[in-house]
Amino acid sequence: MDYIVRKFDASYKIPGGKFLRVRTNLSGTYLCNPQLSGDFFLMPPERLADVEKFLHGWDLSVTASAVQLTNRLEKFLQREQILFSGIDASAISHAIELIRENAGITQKSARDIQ
Amino acid sequence: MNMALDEACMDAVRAGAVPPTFRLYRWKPSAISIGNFQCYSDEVDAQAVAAAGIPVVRRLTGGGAVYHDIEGEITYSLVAPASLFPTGIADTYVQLCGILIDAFAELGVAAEFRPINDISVDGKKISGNAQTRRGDVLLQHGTVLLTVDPARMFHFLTPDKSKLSDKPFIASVNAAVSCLAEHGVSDRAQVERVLKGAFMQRFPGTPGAWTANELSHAEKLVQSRYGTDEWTRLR
Repeated sequence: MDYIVRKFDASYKIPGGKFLRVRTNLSGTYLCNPQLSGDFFLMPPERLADVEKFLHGWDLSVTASAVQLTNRLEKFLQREQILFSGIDASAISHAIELIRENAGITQKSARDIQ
Repeated sequence: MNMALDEACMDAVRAGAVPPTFRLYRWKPSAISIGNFQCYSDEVDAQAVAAAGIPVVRRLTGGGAVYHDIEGEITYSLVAPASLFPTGIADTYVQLCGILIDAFAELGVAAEFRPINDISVDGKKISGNAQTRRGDVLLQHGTVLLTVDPARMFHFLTPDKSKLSDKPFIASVNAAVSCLAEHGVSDRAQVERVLKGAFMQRFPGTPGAWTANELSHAEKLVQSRYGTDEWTRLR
């Protein structure tokens, strides 16, 4: 089945932190080539593309997607020694959750999936 | 050329060819720099900058967009071994912004650190700072507002309104910035002297000039990176 690719974006200003915008295509319920931008800091700076690559293909219809994404992203950043300042994994997940809501994607329960 | 010089200096310090370097500069003509991770079209009114002939450059450092007014703004950069600073970005801002706050105090201006990377007076931003590291070398840029025309600044810059969402006491971006002149300090030479003294006290050094290698490397960086649309509009 071919999915229609749609463009979405969401922004989030972390209280006391920095501004984050996520722009992405959605192929069905999957993130496709997401791009992060904002006034945050990142070390090493050249690793932003790797974070975006990690997010590519994430299914927004999965139950508790935001919580799972935060956990997995935190582990990824830790393993890869990528350090954000001004934003964090939960901020990225929050922005992506806003995209899920804007796209009207309903999360499936475990029973739905079965 | 300013951003290219800072990167060339970073590479020279890393190679051990030059000592840690602090410099103060201004932008001629007035220009805009955007943070490494910012989206050009989110931060800059492309039509307004084109009409006014304002160059835009993407920095190597993170942080936000800055309007570098030739008359009203002082930029500094510091390039030094990362081993001289705390490991974390936030802790390094505390240390380096502390030097600026001491300098402002010497000028009679009571400023305070506003995490993560700003300095404010009476709740209004007067200095923004941005940092990056490459290998074992740190580069920190910063801006000090001597005078400010918020209407002109935000004619070119288009920050998202949500950036003020955690500052409910500030009605608009125009009301979010201050400058030294508003606090009785308007002598550029005096401010530069005090800033230089504050940094030299922490990082003793002697006046120097660009090396031929730094200059030629910077010129190449302008051609390959900072002068290209590909880099400026990377995001």
